[in-house]
Amino acid sequence: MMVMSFPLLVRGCRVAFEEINARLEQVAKTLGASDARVFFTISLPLARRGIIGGLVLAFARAIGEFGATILVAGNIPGRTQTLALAIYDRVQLGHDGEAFRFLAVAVVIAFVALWISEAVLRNRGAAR
Amino acid sequence: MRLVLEGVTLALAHFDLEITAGLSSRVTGIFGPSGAGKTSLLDTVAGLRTLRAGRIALDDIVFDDKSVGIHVAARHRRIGYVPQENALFPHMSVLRNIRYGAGEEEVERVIDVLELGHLLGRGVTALSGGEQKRVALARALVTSPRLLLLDEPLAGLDRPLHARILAFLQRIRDELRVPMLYVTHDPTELQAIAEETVVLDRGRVVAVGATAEVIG
Repeated sequence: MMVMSFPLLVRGCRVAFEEINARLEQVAKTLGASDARVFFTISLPLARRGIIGGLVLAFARAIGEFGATILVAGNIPGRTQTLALAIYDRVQLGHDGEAFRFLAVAVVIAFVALWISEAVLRNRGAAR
Repeated sequence: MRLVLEGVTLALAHFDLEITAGLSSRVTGIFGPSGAGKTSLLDTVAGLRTLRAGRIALDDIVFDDKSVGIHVAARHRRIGYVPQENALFPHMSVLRNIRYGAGEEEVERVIDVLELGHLLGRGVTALSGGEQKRVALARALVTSPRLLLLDEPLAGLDRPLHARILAFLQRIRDELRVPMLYVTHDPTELQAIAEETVVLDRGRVVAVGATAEVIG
């Protein structure tokens, strides 16, 4: 799951850090700040929305993960079973009602994740 | 204050910056057209760029000397820098911006000189252009800089604000006694504040001298 969703997180973080005006970090250095202080007081706070957006998308991607999980980690309820695998299980067993309930949960999570991600990314420009 | 730039060479996108000059006035103007290398010169003095060759010294402190491998990092130079776009930290209040590099004892005096007392709790993104410029000046000044670098400090401000900010800069020069390098492409600003001026064109010094003589 992590392997499959990690690129989304990395991409979100990378874009967030690249968008920071380098002048802010340079000026902080002229004010006597060490590289670590610049990172924690300037870079990280300014990139945090991108990082949160990336985390949410990566989480949503992870719980919907199917192929890699079933091949590598298996389909163990309570341990390696993702939402997508749980739906697959219920369909296989003919428990369509449960499958639809899980499907509804998946749809809600997908929309909420997308909404949060869009909201934090949209506000990023305003915060700068 | 005596700033010595000796054979300072730096590769830029379209040409090399090559500068030799000894500057000793309270305010030295760096004058030239856009793209002459003025901002790159300030970046170099601030320690934000690495020289290809040359030596930079302020009084008896050597900041760069390529021949013996000296390069003092920007954070150890105590050189204040106010970029053209101010580069205020947008996620911090006015007071947090000002105190970022402070020297506690200097904060109140600088806030007083720049008349920022009523703005301290505000966010910097909500300030006017002139207020943002004063905050950027204050933030640089509270570190008790050996030298203040100003990049087009009046650019983008209305005409009426020019005189007001210039008056603040004159107070900084006279009351806080901080020497400055003042970059601009507007000769009237230099006539108002700079005793000495260096004229740059395509990375080369084409004239150095008293502002009245060089700018005419």
